[in-house]
Amino acid sequence: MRYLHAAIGLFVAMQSASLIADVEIKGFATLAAEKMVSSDGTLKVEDDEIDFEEGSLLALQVSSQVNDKAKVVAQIMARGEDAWEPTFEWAYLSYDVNPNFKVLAGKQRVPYFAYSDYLDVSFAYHWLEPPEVFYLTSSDSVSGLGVVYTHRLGIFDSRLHAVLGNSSSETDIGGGQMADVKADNLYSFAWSLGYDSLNVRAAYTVSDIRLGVTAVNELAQGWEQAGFPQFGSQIRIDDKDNEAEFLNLGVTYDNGQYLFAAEYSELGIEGSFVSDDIKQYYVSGGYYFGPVLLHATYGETDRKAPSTDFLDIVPRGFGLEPLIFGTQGLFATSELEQDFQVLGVKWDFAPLLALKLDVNRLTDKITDDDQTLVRLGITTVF
Amino acid sequence: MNIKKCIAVMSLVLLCLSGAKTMAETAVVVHPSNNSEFSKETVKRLFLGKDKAFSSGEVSVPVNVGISEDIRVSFDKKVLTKTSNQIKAYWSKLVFTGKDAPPIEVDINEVKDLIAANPNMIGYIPSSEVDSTVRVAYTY
Repeated sequence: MRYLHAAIGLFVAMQSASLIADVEIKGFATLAAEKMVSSDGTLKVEDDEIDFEEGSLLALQVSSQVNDKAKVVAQIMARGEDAWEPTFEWAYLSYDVNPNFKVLAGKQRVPYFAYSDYLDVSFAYHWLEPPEVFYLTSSDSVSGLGVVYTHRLGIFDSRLHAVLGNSSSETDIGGGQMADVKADNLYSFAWSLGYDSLNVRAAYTVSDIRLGVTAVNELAQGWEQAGFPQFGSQIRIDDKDNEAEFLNLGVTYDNGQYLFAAEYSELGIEGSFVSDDIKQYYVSGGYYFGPVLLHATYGETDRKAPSTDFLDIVPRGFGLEPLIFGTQGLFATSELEQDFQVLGVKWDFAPLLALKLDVNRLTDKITDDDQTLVRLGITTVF
Repeated sequence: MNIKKCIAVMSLVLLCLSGAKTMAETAVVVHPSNNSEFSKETVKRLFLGKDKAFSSGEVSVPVNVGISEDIRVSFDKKVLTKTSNQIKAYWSKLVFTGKDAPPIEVDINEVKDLIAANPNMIGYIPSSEVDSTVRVAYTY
């Protein structure tokens, strides 16, 4: 009820505000249903009911011009998977220094990957959602400062986008367990060059990550009691040596007849049990039959477990084997080799409305297990 | 009049009628004081927000009409070379990430008067409505 009241209050506030000031309301929505049609082994999912909440969302973007150059913008989003509880995804003041140079102060998205900053705006791309295995970041928003600079560079339209800030949020670390995630000193730079329907992009993001996971910290304490306090920094992810780096290269092309998109990414977090060496890519192509787009995507992700060689100095046969095996087991969970395929149809069946059907197949390349997820949804912008 | 001649005349009339429908020309118009140079490419870049100023250096304010208007659908198709939904998708990437805003949308009957009164504006109207209050920048 609290949220209903909040939503009604917000709506009434917006209504009356729009009568006085120049308030603009835009938005987007995706209403989707998904069903896991098959899954086995390491990718087994017990819940195979049709889910109407997981991929559904609705967002309102409210903006008001402060003066010629300044504008305040709030994007409020309600996701089905969060019981439609509305949250502020973006909340910033933007200032146009000149028509080519814009500064954003406040809560905003980090441009890690090509589709990161409009990840929820399904109407803007061909899938119902970009491949989840590739788009794995949990907290995309930071509070801080962003700059966008556009200019003509020879035949290209260049756009530089930089964000610096920090964030703290909660993330699901599996098994229904939530953990606090903090990202400090985050710097993100994205540079894109556009030529007609072609866009090439490179991005680099670095930040200090802290994630408190009880089981991991207990293991580190176990080593401390056993006389190896130095192992803590190599295992824990809530200390100060966990620098996360993201490198991303991408290309998109869409001339209204042919579509092509590809991304390559190298990322990792240093100084913990989480992989410090993740390499992944995908290629996606499509063809428009009038308002109907048929598309296919193939991609791979390869995550290497960090080395546990630091355990070599532990003398065997003194009862420390459980700690050794526990540590090796924890580090091994970071190893992952998967490939993913998406076959999809997007149909622009009416102005501002698109119907999408995606069949997502994921394969564990180590065990050869796989899962198939079917998603159907309607997406719009208004 | 024999029957063959009659058919020939009828076909000619029909051809003219259908021709008139498909060839209804649209004019991209600006304020009469705007002496910048225009081509399909410059109009496209202004309406996609890739250029923010005319070749004269003056700030440009593109004026659009609603997505349900026929003239808008054909402008998107012929000048911007995409469907209206594809153009909306293009702008969605910029609007919801704070990077840029699309052209303002006004009532189809207001376009000419707005442009006649504002040296920075650019819009499009049926060529048949062009008069001395606006300058034709490009036709298609």
